[in-house]
Amino acid sequence: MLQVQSGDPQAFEVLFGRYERRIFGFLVRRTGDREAAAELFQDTFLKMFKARDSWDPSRPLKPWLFGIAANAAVDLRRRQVRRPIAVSLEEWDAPTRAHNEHTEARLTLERGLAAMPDTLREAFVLGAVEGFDHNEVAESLSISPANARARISRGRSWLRKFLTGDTQ
Amino acid sequence: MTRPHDCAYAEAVLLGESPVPVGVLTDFEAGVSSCDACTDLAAALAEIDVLAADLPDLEVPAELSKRTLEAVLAEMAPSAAPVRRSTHQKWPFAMIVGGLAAAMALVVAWPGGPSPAPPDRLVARGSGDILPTVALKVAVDEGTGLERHRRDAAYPSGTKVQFRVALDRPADVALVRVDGSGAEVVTTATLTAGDSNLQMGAQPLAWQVEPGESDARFVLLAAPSGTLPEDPASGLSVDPATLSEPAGSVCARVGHLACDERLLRVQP
Repeated sequence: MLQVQSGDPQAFEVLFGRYERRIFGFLVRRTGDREAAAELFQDTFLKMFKARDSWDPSRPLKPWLFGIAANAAVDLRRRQVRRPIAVSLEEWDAPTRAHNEHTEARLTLERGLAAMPDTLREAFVLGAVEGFDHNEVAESLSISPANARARISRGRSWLRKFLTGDTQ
Repeated sequence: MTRPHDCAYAEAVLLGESPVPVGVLTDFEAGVSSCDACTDLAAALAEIDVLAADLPDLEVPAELSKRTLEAVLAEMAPSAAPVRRSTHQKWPFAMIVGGLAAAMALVVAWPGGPSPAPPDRLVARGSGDILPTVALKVAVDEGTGLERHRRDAAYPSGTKVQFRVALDRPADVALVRVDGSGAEVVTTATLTAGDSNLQMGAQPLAWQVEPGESDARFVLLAAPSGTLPEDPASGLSVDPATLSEPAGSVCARVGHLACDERLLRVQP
């Protein structure tokens, strides 16, 4: 990342290759909409590059980068609310890469994620899917570690109820 | 000293809402294992954790990846040629003129598909091939020009619907229309990587909404060349009661083909 900060294109390509799938996956699951995720994907990396000098080398890179993606998703949500376009997750874009090993349970989990409230979902995806610890989730979302922990826990609880058909 | 088992407390611990008890962990674990409700909860949460951690990274569409990389590299070298940044470009007007009416007439007259077959018939032959990543894009023309399809809108009869497919690698594709009465193949094609409009001959293919037509899901199936099932519509169905709901997703039940879908709502 230090090389990216100094404007090294090859370093950026390496960084991009390392994170592109994870960022895309996060955005798809965060928005529940592949088209929106595609739009945010490019924005995220452009913002990352433009804000490269704001990254503190003494801090981990991952929360900073996913924080940019999370903020981009929030910004999009605000724009959509202003332009009264339906942004509910009523039509979940099912994962378009249908792996042979996709089980029904996984697909159900993806549907549950799509239906989960935004604030829980972004924390849960970072914590449970991306494997961030509470501190990293907190740093990505600019919330306290206790809040991050609570959101992840509530996300798990919400999913459990979704999986048992008890989301009301 | 043994602490009595407290189900509500155990649930809070298992959900991560209360800290793991210090000093009485053995008692706590024994309490959980002796309580059916707690054991079930622990198993359900463990399954969620495993499933969540095991969710695959999603493939970035090749065109998006390339475009994003180019955009940032262009930022790094301001003198470079400008790159396209918009994800959603309007379709060229030229693509929708000439022969469209004829194409639509053929599409509307497309014969109904055969009766559905079990989903397990939807297995791509030659397993081991990497499935493509596919995205189906839909545009509509209500008589005022081509516009992006809005998933919350219900379209009147006469609306013309066109389809664009984005692929990360060459693939055989099938566009299937699924409604409460069954599934029918609208068209099949062999496409290259990148964005392609579905064509009928040399003209863009369109679906024209007819009076009395119901809501439907347009489902795009894709598989490596030569591995698409002979009858891609077999096994595809949707419950009319949930057609417009998340539970009505057709792709969610397609396990062995790349799949994307769009719900088309129609005005009564």
